[in-house]
Amino acid sequence: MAEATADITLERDEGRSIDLTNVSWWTVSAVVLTLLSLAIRMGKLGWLPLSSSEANRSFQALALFDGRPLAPGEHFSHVDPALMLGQSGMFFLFGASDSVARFLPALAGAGIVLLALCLKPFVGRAPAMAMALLATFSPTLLFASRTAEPQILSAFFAMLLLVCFLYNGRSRSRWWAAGLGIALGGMLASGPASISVLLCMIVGIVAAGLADSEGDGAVRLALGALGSELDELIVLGLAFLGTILLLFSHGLSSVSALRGIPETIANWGRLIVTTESTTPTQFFLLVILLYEILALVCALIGFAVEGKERKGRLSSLFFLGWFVASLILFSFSSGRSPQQAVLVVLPLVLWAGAGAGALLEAVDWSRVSGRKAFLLVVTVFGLLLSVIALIAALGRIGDSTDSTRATIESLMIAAIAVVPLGYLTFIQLPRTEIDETGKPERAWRTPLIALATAVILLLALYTMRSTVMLNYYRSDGPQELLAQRTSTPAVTAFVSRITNVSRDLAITGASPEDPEGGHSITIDLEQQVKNPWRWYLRDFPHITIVPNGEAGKTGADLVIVQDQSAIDQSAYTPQSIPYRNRVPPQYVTPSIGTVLKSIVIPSRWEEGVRFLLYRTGITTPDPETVVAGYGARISNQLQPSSGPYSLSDRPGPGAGRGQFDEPRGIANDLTTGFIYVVDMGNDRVESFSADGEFAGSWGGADGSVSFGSTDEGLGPTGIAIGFDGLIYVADTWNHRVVVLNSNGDAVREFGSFGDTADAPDAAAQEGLFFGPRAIAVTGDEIYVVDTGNERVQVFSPDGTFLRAWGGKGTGPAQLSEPVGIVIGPDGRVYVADSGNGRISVFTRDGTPIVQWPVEAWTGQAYFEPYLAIDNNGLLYATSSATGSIEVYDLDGNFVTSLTGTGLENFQRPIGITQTAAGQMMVTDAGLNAVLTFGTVAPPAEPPGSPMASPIASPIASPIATDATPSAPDPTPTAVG
Amino acid sequence: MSHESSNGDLHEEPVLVSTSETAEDVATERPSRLVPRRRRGAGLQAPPAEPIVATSIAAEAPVRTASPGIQLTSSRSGMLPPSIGWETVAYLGLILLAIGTRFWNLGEKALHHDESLHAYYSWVYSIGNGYRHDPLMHGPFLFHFNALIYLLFGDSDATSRYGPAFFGVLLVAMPWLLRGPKFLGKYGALAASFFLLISPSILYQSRYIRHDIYTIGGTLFLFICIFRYLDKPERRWLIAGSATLAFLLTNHEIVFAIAAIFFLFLYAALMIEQFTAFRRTKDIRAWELAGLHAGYIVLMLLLFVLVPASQKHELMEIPWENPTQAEENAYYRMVVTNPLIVGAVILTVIFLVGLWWTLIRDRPAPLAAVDDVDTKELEEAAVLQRPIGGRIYETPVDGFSVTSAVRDAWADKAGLLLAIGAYLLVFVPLYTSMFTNMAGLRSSTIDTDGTLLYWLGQHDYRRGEQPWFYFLLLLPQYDYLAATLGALLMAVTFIRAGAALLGWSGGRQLFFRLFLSVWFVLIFAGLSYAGEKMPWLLVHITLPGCLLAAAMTGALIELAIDARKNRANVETERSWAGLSLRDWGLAGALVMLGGAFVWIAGPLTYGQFITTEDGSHAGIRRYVTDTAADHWWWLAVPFLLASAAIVGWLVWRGIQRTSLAVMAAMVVGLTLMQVHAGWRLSMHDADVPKDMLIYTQTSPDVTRVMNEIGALSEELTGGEHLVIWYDSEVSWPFQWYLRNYDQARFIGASLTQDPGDAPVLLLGDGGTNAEQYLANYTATDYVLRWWFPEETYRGFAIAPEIPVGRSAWESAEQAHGPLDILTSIFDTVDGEQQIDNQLRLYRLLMYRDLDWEIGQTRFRLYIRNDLLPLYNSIRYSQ
Repeated sequence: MAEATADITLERDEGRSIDLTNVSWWTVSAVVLTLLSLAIRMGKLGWLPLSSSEANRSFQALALFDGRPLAPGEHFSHVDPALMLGQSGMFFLFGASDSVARFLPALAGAGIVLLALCLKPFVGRAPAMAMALLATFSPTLLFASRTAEPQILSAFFAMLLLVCFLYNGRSRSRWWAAGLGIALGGMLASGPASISVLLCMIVGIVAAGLADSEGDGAVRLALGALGSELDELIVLGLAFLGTILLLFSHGLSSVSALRGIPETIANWGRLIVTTESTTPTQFFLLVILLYEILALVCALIGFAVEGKERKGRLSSLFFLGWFVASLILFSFSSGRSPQQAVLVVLPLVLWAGAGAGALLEAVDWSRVSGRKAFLLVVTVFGLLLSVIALIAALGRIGDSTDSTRATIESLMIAAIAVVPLGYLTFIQLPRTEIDETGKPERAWRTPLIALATAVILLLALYTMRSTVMLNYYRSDGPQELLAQRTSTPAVTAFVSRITNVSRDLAITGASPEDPEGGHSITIDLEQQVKNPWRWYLRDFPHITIVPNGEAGKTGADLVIVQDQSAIDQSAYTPQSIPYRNRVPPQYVTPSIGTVLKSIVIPSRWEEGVRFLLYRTGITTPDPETVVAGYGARISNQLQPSSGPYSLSDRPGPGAGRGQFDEPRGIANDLTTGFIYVVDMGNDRVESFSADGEFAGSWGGADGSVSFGSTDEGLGPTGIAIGFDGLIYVADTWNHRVVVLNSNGDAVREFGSFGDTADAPDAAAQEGLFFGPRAIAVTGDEIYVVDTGNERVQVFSPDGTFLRAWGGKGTGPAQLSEPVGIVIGPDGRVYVADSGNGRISVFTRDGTPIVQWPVEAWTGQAYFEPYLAIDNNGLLYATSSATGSIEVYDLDGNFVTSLTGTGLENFQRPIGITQTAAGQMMVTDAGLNAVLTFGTVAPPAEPPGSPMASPIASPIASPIATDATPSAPDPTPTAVG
Repeated sequence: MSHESSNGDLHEEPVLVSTSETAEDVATERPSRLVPRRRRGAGLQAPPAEPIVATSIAAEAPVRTASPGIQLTSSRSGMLPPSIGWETVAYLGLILLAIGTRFWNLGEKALHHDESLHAYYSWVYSIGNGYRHDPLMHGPFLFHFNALIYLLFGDSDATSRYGPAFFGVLLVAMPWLLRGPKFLGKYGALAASFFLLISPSILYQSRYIRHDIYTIGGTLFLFICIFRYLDKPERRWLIAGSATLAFLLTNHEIVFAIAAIFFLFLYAALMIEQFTAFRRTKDIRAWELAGLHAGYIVLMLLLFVLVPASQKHELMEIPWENPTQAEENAYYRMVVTNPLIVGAVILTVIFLVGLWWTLIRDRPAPLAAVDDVDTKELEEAAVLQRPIGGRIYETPVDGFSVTSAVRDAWADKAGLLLAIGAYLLVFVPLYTSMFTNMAGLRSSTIDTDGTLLYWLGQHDYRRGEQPWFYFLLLLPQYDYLAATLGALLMAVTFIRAGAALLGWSGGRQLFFRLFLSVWFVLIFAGLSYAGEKMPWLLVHITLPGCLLAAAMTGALIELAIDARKNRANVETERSWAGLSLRDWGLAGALVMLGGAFVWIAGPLTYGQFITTEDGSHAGIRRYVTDTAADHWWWLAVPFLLASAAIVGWLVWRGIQRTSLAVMAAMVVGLTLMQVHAGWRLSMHDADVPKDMLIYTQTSPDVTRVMNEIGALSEELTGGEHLVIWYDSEVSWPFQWYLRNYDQARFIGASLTQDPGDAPVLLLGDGGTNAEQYLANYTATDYVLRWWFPEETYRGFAIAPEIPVGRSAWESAEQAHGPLDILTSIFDTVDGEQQIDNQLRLYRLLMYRDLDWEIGQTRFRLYIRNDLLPLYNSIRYSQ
């Protein structure tokens, strides 16, 4: 015997082939159906955005694969790890996307169809095919196959369990035992509801077993086989144990996740009795009536005609028991949810398949086939439709405001459709039929079959429409009972917009953290609404999940909050995003009375039919919304405004009027009060009135004067106002100083390129510049810092070179990368000697007087410090690298260090000046804004260094007083 | 001797045709050789004798039985065959998968710079504006084929790639022709088809309009033709091989290297056959043959050394860049008078004469011309061991004899003529652009700016400055199966070949595998040595690697099935591919432990990004977190469990079953890894150069901008009539993308005039002077093309052949001899002891997380200010 088996096995190995001369239509149909089920599950998988629940699972699966951290306090789901692990594997193979997130459910759905076909030996050819057909097109099963929820895996493993169970009864094998164990383990790892499914299947087994009086049914055989071999039981146990260990430990990667096993059991208890649900008790019944009416009718018809149980066959009672138990258990479980519908519908579909198959097998098709029978079915089908239409029209006569019209319609329908079709049907009815033995039979069989066929045909068409509408058209809205709380199309539209805007804003931001660049905007997501956004914005590295109410506190570019009030007090531009569909009230509290009325009152039929076909008549609530708050950068990009912006606005970087892109020097015309800012990134100078309103710009796109810029985006830098009202601009990369009048016309310019080659001699190449960066003007002289040549050059107002000093070095008379310059009230020249990390003081002829170190500058490079002296005689030195302004008295005693205006923190303060109103103004290249703050009061006593606290509270600037009275005290923060 | 029983021993007794074996044996082994070519070619003449015909059929019978395809066991006529083998079903499935993976979503990725050139000039050809062969863009086949596709299916990004996709599918199907037992075998051929399907590099090239996919398709078919002819010298293979060689020559110049390898192997096999035969018969000519070759090589080397360097150098000074006729003539004159060339020609002629003399000397006159020998006489000759057709010996290995194949080909004059005709039929029309450009005959052959000399002239250019270890690092990142199983079988094959030379058994399929191994190693070495190493060349290494890996897999499956057959009497449990459920359990467990490693390593290696002083990393690097560092040992757990499982299995199931299960796990695991690498490379991140294999790629910004411009154009002009100016910095690929815009205007190197009212300008980001004309425009920067940061791998070892600073050779003073190179590799490996480096390496290999910034070239889109609101409503409306 063993030899014979081995020979057969070897034969299988060696010469497998398919005999094409004997391929049945069943086989062809099975192959086609399997491929079709796969295609309709896989096609357009990503058209419906992931719901919050799906997105949460998908994000966790992605995090499991690539290791990204979850939000603080969040942990991986323990109770249904099968889907997460499967998704993780799919992401490993195919990358992360909406479609891939749903690959596994789609495969499981197709697997159910395939497994239904595998039931052929136990239910017969026609029932197996009918089961597979119904499973392929069942709206509920298809929808579950196209959403990333774990219930479809429960259904798949239940089918696998059934198939392995039955096959093991037919031909005992360790392979089937192993399959049983894997299926059981898979079910447990697909969520607590699987335990309910298992119980319901047991009910079915009991029902089938009890009805099997002969003891030769498939269930009894399978049960008998299961307990007969110890080693098979061991294999089953090992497979079960291995599966749950593997799945619950997240692929052997987390021992602690094994606590999911007891949690699953505990959750099942909660699911049955304690969890609260908003899903009504009659939900599954309604789902069946709305979507699975074909299956229900097939099941009932089939049950009525099913013949005697045959040896080795699976009784319909099994499916009936499983289905009824499922309907009851899930309907009365306190934790019911729409996603569980697939677990109720699966046995119904199988039962219906068995019923439809039984019907097909019961009919003698040789009698009813042929052209006549086809014609009969067509006329009965037409008659059925017309009778329904007639009754609906008659029903409207009483209710209609236009009774006459309804009456005429009824008469028309009767005359045109019902009577002719009724007559046609009548004349086709055979008077008698002859049975197999040649005896005459009653004539009702053929019309009854025609009627049943017509009814099934009608329901099949309706089901097909339900399937298509639910799965490919309407599930992104609230109309479908099964598709609840789905995401709206606005989700992907919003994400696409943000992705595009972000890329347009920050294409230069590529880094190992964001390889493609373009994802550098910062995003705050409120904890409560993190899904599905976290999934969709997964490529943005600077995304933070914040507690509710905390979004935007750190100045994120984009915030997504549940309630607009969370950002009302900030500068975000809000936009409401309708992201999740609400459940219509009729679905939350369905009225069976209303449903029944729609069925029994003909005048309601049209309304009912319209609902069935078009989902009209329900209240479609507005979707739930979140509020996206756009920071200035995004807002300005989305809706570009050319301004004008005042200095108090914060439009973010840009080239609009009043906007800045890396502002540098700033100067104030004490006579007119006008403020001039060098907008380096836009190669221009912008002017503002004394109250901060935009007045005009020169250079850049304006075209009146052209400042030089480099490929790296560097442009003009320093600026100063002469006593004659002329404006001196350091046109750094044209290596010159441009003198403008108050109209922006170039009066003159002086200087050209000269490189003193490491600047050993300050006097070399007189009047030439490497890159002038700052200017100070007295009544008769112009002091220009020639940074690259490490010197200060002095010119007469007409541009004639007078003298120079400096030269690269650390000596008292030498300079290293000098930038800022200011003339003190004492006539001394203060130079920001940045490379030496000090402020150097000279007489006007260049004789060094004193130098003092600036601690904030030590060890920094390329921080472009500028200087200003206020009317209290204090020297302000900006320090962009530390985001602070260092304050000294003119003797070099440290006074304080400012890190903000009190309302806003400095990011990269650079240019600085004092206004005519006595306030200090600083350009901030990080904020792309000009900030205003009050002067620091001079120390009451000779100051020490460093100071531990601010010496006096500055006067809050007019701009700073935009804050509400309850705003915090705008005292600068002392860091010295 | 049957096909199966050939042991492939190189030291088999030499087989003198019809000498040592009976006619029937010989006929069974090489049935057609006894049938004179001319007679068979005539076709209408009756077979010479009954017994030979009978044995021929008998010899073919096993081949038919082994055939997995349609089994012609029924005479029933009809559309469908009476039965279909599972193997055929498997091939059909693989072909369907190939169609799916090759053709799906082909237009998603923007056309790469070179792709846009190929697509554009094909399009120009397709609309009737002609095509002239230009060696800059390699051979003409691609342009003809692509133009045909445009004619049939229209022009788009997707249709531009139909040709490569089609060849990608053909490539997957081709191993079907190698399923004979002397080639890959049934399982090996199926595995080859599957491995070619899932090879990341081949998949990528199948979705990319370059020449390489055509070349490897042609190369595989040429290889098939050679082996099918060696196995059974049917004329069709001779003709097909010739046409394929012509096709390869019309496609890409790398065919010279491939053809050289093929020729070298076959020549070596031929000579070894002769040498072995002479040795066996104690013929002095064995040593004459060896001496002749040794002398030729020594003299050639001597010549090379003696010729002054300047004269060698001037040979490489090929006027390849727009030469005048006078320059070309001067070069030709120099070549024919160059002592190196003259000396080499003289030596070669002497060598060939010597070879002829050695092989033909003492050749007794044949009894009669072969055609005149009747069958009876032939039989007698065999019995009497008299030589037929001269004393050219053959020593078949696995039944393959190059000697016989050469003789058969030479005897089949009509076949040779047809082969030459087929060659010309392919070569001439393509190079002359269907006879519209007869100059193509010169540019394809002798022009100094033509096919071969053009590329030889650029040999030293080293465009990418890739180091010698480039492919050494590239191959194992993608084609895991080729890099492991392929390399393993190659090593085994060389050992077996060595053993065979020493007189031991070489085992089965030795000749076939040896060819593959030589091909694999020589193409790898050749491309690694060549100046220009580009990632798309990887497929030329992958192809023989995949075939070797498939041969290995097939051999393992056959081994498992054979082993199971031996156990059949005592074991009744079911099996699949020779492995029982238990053994598959081990394989599954090992694969799952591999998965566990991935799941454990994910969070441990995610790390944290820390701003660093090192500007070369864009200021940010990934480092291990403290928590992860404390738990780093977790990574060892899957390995420990796997080791324990293997040891347990060894004890329980024995070494053979355990080894097979481990190998099965390895194949499954590597297959999954290849799908992972390939899908991401070709589908998911195909337009982001996070992969070394992508190298450089047009960014998706280009297609995005084109979609937006298209919408703007439709809104403003009702079609593709928008006025668009673009400069030379962006001309490729925009030349292609703007092909249908009748108002698109190319402005040369940069903008030098006021664009007037042009709504849109596309300019490179280098032209700062253009700003003065653009006051009325708003600019947005986009990435035109970006490239993989090559710094990622350059520090692996010292590469003295490229400039300092481009490898671990960091300064001119640094020693860079062979030992230093070796040391630098050890240093790199040693560096992987640091967990931060382990983290970066793992993230790179698994997720393609880069440690360096992707390089990029940008372009700037200018929108006229008054159109900006409309344009923004388009680009931000989705």
